[in-house]
Amino acid sequence: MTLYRMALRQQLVSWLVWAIVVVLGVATVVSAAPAVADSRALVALMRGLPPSMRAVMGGALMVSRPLEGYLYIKLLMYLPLLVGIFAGFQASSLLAREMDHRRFDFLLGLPLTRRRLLLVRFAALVTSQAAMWLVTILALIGFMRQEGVHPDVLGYALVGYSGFLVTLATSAGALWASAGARDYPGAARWGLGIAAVPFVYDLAVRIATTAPGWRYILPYGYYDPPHLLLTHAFPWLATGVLLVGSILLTYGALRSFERREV
Amino acid sequence: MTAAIEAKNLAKVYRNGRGLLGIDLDIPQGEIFGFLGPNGAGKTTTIRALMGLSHITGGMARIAGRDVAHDSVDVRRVTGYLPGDPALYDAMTGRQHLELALRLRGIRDRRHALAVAERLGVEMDHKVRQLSRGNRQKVAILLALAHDPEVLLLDEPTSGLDPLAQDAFRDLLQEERQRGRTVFFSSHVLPEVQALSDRVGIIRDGRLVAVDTVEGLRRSRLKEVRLSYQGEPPDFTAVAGVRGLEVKGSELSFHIAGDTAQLFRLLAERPPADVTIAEPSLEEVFRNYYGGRPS
Repeated sequence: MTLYRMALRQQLVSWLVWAIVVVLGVATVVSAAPAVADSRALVALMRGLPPSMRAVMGGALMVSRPLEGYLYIKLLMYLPLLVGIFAGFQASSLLAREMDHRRFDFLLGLPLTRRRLLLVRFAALVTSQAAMWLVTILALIGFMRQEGVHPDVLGYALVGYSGFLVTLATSAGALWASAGARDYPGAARWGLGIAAVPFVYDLAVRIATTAPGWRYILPYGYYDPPHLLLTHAFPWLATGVLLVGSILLTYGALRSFERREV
Repeated sequence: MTAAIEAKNLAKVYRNGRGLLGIDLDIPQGEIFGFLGPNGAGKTTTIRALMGLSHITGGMARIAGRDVAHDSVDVRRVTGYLPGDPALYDAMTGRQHLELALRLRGIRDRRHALAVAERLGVEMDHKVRQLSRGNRQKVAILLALAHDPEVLLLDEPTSGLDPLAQDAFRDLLQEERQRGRTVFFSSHVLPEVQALSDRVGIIRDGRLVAVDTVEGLRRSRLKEVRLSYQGEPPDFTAVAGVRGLEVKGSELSFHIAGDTAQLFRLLAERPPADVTIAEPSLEEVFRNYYGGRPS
């Protein structure tokens, strides 16, 4: 627990910054919610868009539930990217920055296995990411209530849960990449790439809509807030694939870390 | 008796072919062993290999009977390690570092650690980022000694310390030896090694080229010779083992290593007016191994 608490404390400042930024952002976006809730102009605009653009911007959700559609294109669509970039940097710093600063000499001078060191620190990172999603979704629901709009609590809970799974997979990928990186700047580039490139690629595939199956090679392919809000279906596929993927990537990072010089 | 530190053909070879090319060590309990060598000779690599921080590529090593490759967690339990240029967490204080280290070692009794901190004058409640280089080094030394380890592996321990702190640290090491602790330390400060060490190892290009007591090294390897002649002195350049010959008028000084028979034959043929043959300092011995002129 000592190591876990220490790792959590290291995440605390970034977590607080996230919480403040996200609460302000959500409050700003949600403040316009009552005006959007029965906006016929927005629905008409969506109906006029080409199918591919409509798919990207929430599709049927925007048409049938304009408020949720509005919140999706203003907020939910970018959240996994933003949290992912944050997570990518944090995960890559778990190993690479510590190695760059030679701080593992202190930690590994103690009777700790590399496995324990990495897993405990990664667990603390995942905890802080879960807290980030929790704060985000609670802020969303809370501000909607304050604005007199009835929120879809179950739908947003599913969105938060799936978003967390994407963040977890992104973090595990960044951890795995950083375990083999030469230095921290290199690892941070990997972290950024793992969060941003798949997001852009997923967006492109959604627009093209010609080969939707390709989406499922990326974590974002398993994350579709409009679908979750419309159907309330538990994301079993995302749970299975992203959890197994995260475990495999973390195991790969562990193997690399155990082999490499620190 | 089990050696406190034991290595047989210990190797850590990097891709460029450099590193540690097979060294043997046998250091009994209660000994202070000084480890000498210039930058890049393999001192830090040796210490990191002994700590299990660096994966060895050949041979074996044991600390207090524990294999460093297979029981590295156990090795680190009984060992205090001071890295060269230690890196700590800037946002944490010395006390927080100490708490973390002791908790992770499962040690509740703080008395020994706090006594060491007081002896060294560690600034416990300042964040590391606010500390000077020397005060950070004191925190790092405290972390190495805090759990009262059986074996201490210290890489350049007095680097950055002021003279008073160096004295306190040396006193501490002497006390550790009296309590039966084993100390393996590398240093560039040769008088310090000379004053502290029971034995000294000299490493060159990844190989241990000499291991002996300070006195043994000084006696067996090198003599400092000063001669004074009335008139023109003879030529000593052809005498086997002569190094660093300096001639100032009728006075000569040089060092001689190995067999001195040829020197004494020449001295018998051309006796000087005055002669001094002295044992050199450890620094001169060290420089002799590296082919430099003694200072």
